[in-house]
Amino acid sequence: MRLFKVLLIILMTFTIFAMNDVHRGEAFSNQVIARGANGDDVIELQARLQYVGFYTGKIDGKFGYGTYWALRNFQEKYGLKVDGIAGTTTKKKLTAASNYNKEFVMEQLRKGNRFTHYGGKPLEQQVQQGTGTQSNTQLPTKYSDQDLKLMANAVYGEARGEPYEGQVAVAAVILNRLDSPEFPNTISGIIFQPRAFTAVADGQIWLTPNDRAMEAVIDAMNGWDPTENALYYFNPKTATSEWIWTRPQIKKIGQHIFCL
Amino acid sequence: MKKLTFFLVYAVIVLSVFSYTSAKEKTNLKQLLHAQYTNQMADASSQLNELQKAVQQSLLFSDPTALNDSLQDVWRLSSDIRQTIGGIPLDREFTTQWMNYLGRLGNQAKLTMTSEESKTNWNKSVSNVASNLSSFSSEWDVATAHLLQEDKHYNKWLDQLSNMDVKNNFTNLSATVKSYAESDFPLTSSETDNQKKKDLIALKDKVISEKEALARFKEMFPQYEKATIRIEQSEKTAPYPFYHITFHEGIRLGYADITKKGGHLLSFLVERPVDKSTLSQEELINKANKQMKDLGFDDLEIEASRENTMAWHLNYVRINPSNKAKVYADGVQVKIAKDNGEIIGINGMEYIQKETLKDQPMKKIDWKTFFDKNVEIVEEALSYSENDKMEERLCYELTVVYYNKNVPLTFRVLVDTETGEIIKNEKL
Repeated sequence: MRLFKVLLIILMTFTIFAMNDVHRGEAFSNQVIARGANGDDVIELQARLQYVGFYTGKIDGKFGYGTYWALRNFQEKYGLKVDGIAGTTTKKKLTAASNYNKEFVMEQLRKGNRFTHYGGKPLEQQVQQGTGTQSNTQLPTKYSDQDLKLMANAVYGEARGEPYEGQVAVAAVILNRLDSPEFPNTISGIIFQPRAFTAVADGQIWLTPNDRAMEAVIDAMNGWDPTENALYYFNPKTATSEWIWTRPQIKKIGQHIFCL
Repeated sequence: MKKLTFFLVYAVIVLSVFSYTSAKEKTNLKQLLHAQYTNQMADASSQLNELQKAVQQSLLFSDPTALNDSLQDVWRLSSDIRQTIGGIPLDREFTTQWMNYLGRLGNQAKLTMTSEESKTNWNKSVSNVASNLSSFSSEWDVATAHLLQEDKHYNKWLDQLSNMDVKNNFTNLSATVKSYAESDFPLTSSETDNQKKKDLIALKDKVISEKEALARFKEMFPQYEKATIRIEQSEKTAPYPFYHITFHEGIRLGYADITKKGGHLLSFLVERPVDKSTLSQEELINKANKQMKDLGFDDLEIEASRENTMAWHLNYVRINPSNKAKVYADGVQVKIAKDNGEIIGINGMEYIQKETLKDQPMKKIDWKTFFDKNVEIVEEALSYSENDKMEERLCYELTVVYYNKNVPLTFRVLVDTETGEIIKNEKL
């Protein structure tokens, strides 16, 4: 009877160990990830690389150069092909060498906390209160998350009833002004320039933008300009300024006429 | 009855107190705004005087250090006035022209600090600028004098702005500054070159008809053969003429702009729901490369890729065939859906008119002495990039890593192959 109990305990221990191991092996998705990638796989990659001390940056799910060098260093140390790409072999090796507390990482990201995921140190000691939710969007280097938020607010406040093209167009006008010596040289300066945008004057800029407005801004920041270089736009049904009618017009999108 | 009267009296009293408080708050706010605007207006006037002096002072020196001090003042003050003017509600046309002029003046001063050639140009134009600023300063004083009177509040300020006489004052100011901008800082050829997007007017290709534009669109995007399509022409006042095609097919809604001259694709964008399942990064990029080749973009190479929620944004750059250098100014941006790799956006505006690239000597640079000893060069290539004078320059493009307390910092440094000047230094 005693022997039976001992055997049962050994069997249970092995089962738990094996289940744990399966969990480790299945952690990543099947995707090969490289520079430019964004998402849960990259979060796991960064967390695991940090666990084994190769990654010292922020765990944000964005596969930038910081992650790239950390991964290369890991590959070099573990005798893998050094290419900075997380393929099947690299992922397997990394999974075996590290632990990943998904629940902990995701919770901190959700809360917008500042945190790390180093091995050998209690996780609760690696968290600091953050500033709220963080963006998981990758923008061209000249733009910041704050620019994205401000512009999305402006686009939503100004053009939420417009077709998608019209929303990208409003975002493009803001960026065209940024390139023009005739306007302030920051995105906030342009948006909050007195009398420049109706949404600022009537407070609609403070409405929470939807995903569509965000996507429209991301497209504009990546270069799309459906206005063909416009600096102004107006709704001909509601415009009260005579001056705006004197501007050379380019095209009409939805309810707005875009002009120089 | 008594109760009703009591309630009515009570309601009237509450409303009166509320109206009084609101009116008072509004008045306070207006007074505050007026004070703030007046303050900024006064600042703008004194900064204008300072700028005028700084420009005049720059006429005095041939010593480079002394001249640079004055130029720095011109640069700083022109920027300060731009900030101040940007915050005051004034006639828009005037503000636009004035900020434009100040921007050009500041840029010219900054360029003069670094380039011998610009120094000669500065000396030629600065006496003109100085006298123009003097007369502008007098006109400014006249136009703004009554806006600075103490007994006015915000409503009167706004009334005065829309008042005919004041408007005329500002209209005059606007015209004056515009003429200064044209005479003092004419666009150089390189600046014109920089405005390549706006200069599509210079296209020499044959004008295509609406029907041909439609055929071109369907040839490029055969998947929209059966879509509901609407085609319009750009407004007559558009700087370059184009066809605006909007289309709708099932879940897809989008637009494409095609130039009238030559039928070149300016821009194409589709909105559609994207599935949660995604193809791998490698598959998506391979698919994008193939589709781009099929569309006739066969001299491009991917330079950057960024994954976002629904799509990947890819940056392609043209490769100059003679030296394999990347030409950043001739880029194409592409958006691909993550679920099936379909191209849902192309921005080809900059690719239509290719940059004219001049031959340029390539001097050997010793990177060991150029960079700090802790800097490691990890990638070396050639590329063209625009310098301060907006000329396309051939550069050594170096991706370098600097370990700061074990944290790798990656930079892209572009060094002019002829002068060794750093054209761009970007943190990646």
